[in-house]
Amino acid sequence: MDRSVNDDLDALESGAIAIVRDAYRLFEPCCVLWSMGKDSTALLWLMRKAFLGRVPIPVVQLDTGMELPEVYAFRDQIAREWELDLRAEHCPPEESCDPSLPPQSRAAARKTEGLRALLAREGYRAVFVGIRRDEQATRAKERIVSPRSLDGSWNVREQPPEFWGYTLTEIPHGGHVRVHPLLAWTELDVWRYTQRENVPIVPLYLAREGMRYRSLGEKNITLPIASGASTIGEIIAELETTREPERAGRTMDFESEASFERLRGAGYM
Amino acid sequence: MSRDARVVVLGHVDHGKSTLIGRLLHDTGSLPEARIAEVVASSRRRGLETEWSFALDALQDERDQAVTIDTTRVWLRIGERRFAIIDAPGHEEFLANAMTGASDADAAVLVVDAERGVEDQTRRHVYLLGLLAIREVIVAVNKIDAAGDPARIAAAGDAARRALDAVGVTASAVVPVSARDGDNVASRSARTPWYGGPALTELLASVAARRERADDEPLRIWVQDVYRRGDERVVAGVVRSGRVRTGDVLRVAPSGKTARIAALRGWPRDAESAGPGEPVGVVFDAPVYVDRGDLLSHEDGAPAAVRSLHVRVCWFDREPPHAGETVRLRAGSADVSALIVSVLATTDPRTLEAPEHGVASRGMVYELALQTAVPVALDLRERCALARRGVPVGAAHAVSLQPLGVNVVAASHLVDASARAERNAHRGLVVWLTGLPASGKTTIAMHVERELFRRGYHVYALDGDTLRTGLSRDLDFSSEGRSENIRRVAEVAKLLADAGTIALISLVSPSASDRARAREIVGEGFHEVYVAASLATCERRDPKNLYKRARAGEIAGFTGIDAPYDVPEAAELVLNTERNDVDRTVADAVEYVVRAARLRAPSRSVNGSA
Repeated sequence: MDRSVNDDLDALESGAIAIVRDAYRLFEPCCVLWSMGKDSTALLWLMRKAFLGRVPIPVVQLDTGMELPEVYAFRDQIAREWELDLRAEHCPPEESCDPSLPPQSRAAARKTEGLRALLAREGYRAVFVGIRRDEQATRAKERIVSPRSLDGSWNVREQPPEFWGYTLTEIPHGGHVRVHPLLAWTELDVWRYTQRENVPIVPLYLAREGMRYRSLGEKNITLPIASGASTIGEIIAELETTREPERAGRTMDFESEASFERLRGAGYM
Repeated sequence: MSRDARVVVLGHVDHGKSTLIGRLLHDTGSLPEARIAEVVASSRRRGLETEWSFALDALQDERDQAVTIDTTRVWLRIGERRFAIIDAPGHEEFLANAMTGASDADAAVLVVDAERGVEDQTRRHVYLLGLLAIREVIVAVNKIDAAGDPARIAAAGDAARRALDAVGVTASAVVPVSARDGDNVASRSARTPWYGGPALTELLASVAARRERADDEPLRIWVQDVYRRGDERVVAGVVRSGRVRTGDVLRVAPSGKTARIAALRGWPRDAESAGPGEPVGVVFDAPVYVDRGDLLSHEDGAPAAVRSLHVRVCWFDREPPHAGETVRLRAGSADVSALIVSVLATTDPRTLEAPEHGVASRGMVYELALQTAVPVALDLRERCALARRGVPVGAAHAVSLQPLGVNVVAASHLVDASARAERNAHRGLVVWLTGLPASGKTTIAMHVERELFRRGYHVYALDGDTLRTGLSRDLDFSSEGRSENIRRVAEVAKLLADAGTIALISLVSPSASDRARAREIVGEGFHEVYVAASLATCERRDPKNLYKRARAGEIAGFTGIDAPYDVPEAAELVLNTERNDVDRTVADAVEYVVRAARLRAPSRSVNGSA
């Protein structure tokens, strides 16, 4: 790998480790969300680095029961090999969602509800989430340490300043904070890191018979894309030239202009 | 492939920052096809021509009001390089968001409207650039399609240059552009023969990459946490500057202790050395007390430990800083309570002069004299933050530090205690608050101190942490160390009381015999106050996470967990913080102290017959 690319990855990794260590010390108790996707898996990997081998906090999967079978197999294998304190949180059924939400957004709404229930029950004050600014335009506005009110909602109009690594250190009364160590990373960075560190991935990311998943969501709302990239190296080469957005296969993002902002405002990741 | 760089785009509201970025994205082929279609559709719904700023302004409000509210960033590709383009809002109300976006930039593009020239927010943003010490600034004079007149365009560019010069920043280039039409954005325009210079993308392509601190600077490691790993204690931190190697002797500031590095732990493998920006896991070859907020260095070139300092701070809060207010000073991982002793100067970055009366505090630059509650180690010009309720409200640099010194003064008094009491109209005494960790001793002491001070008493609160980092920094937490610490505190408290001060001491002081000795040292004016709360309550509060760490085995001999606390049998006052709230306990304590400090019946004659 090119030396300067390597240096850029080192800087991203170092920055993320610093964020993880600070938040772990400042906010207690806390947990990390794991979707088994490439981003949150990379996050777990660098948490192992931050804490010298083992993720010291519960690893929570918000389970809609609708992931692809390969994803569940990957979860169980990694949880065992990395000795994760895995907690599968079963999300409430679709019927309990706001019926005015477009159908494709309901899985996300179920996860939001599942997270809310988990926070209420376990009293987590901080939740580590592997989102990135380049994924989606409203995520681009996020903070590294982002406060959530009692009901889990995100007040995008009144975000705390963040500069020189100084972030929010107190949790809003009755609320919690979301901690986003990968916010500054790009999709390409995650793949380069995954390749360099040899981080395991769900095999669905790699092309079979001309199709692969670029983004992994529930099986009823995520579509594979046409691609011949059957290795991580080929994925990287593909990303260096593509002009298709990462979440093109996520049908929920395109239902209406504001649906994603609305979901995030309500507490989605 | 060359390195990534971060570029912030700044400027007054409506001068066209978002449009310029949208145009850059489009003309460099960085915008996904689907996104272009979305921008076109969204513009059409609002009855607009294609509005490139919509590529960035993702929030509904932003599109509807056509103003950028929050900072955002997108990636741009120019040739082989990647640029994180940071859009910072230009509206006055969102200055903190602009700072949030700009703080880690390598370079800046300052957008200036060709017709309107340099305006208020342009000046504020120019000041931010100076504060952030961003060296590469490209001025983009925008909307040349509307202005037309080259002289006018040149005047706007010159005005921007002068504004930058005034804060010590030299513009690296001035380029006339039309974000709307694309002139000089990604390609040189035929419409500006009088310019003939490079397009914006060419200028960006030569921006220097991410600036890292050199590793020949003095070593600084910010301590973030301490992990217990088997029998080892691993000091987790990040290298701020310099280079650290196994075998180095490190000095811990502010305590001043030293120890040698036995290993630099890492996973999956240990490290031999680490440089700027890198995380470390330091294992020392001897036990040494280190915790979050400490600063590690080599023995040579160690940082100053201070309690008094002046800072220059760019303020983001609606409420201005007040003399007498307590804020948090954050320097690296250190986060200490700091009293604003005085506001030395206020500068309006738009005029670089003192503001007119009644101007909003947001965006003002203050010079403040601070006094910290405990010593803090930091370097001059280090990037700091002032925080209120855990929210960073000001970006600060230390502009002067007064290192802690020692004055040995031998004095034989010609003034006795009663004369001092007479002058002060109250007696000096020692109020000794004892109780479990997190029972509320220091909170009570600090509130009582404030209230008595307000009423004109000579009062000083001394808490366990302050003493441990200063007077007793050579002591450990063994029972011998604790006893000696308590002896010293009692001696200091006695001196304060002799000097006529009401000394409020908050110290766990778990041993009844140690407290008895303190009473003996102080003598007559000693008042023992038991701050009572159950172990379960204290453990639930745990503001410093000490119980958690003691339970995890990271702290040994912790009072209440694996070391005993002797409940006072004959305290002068008991304050129950479990049943009563802070206001109530403070009121009770104040009432008690006021009574105890009251002078005996005045000796002068009472008015009446004379």
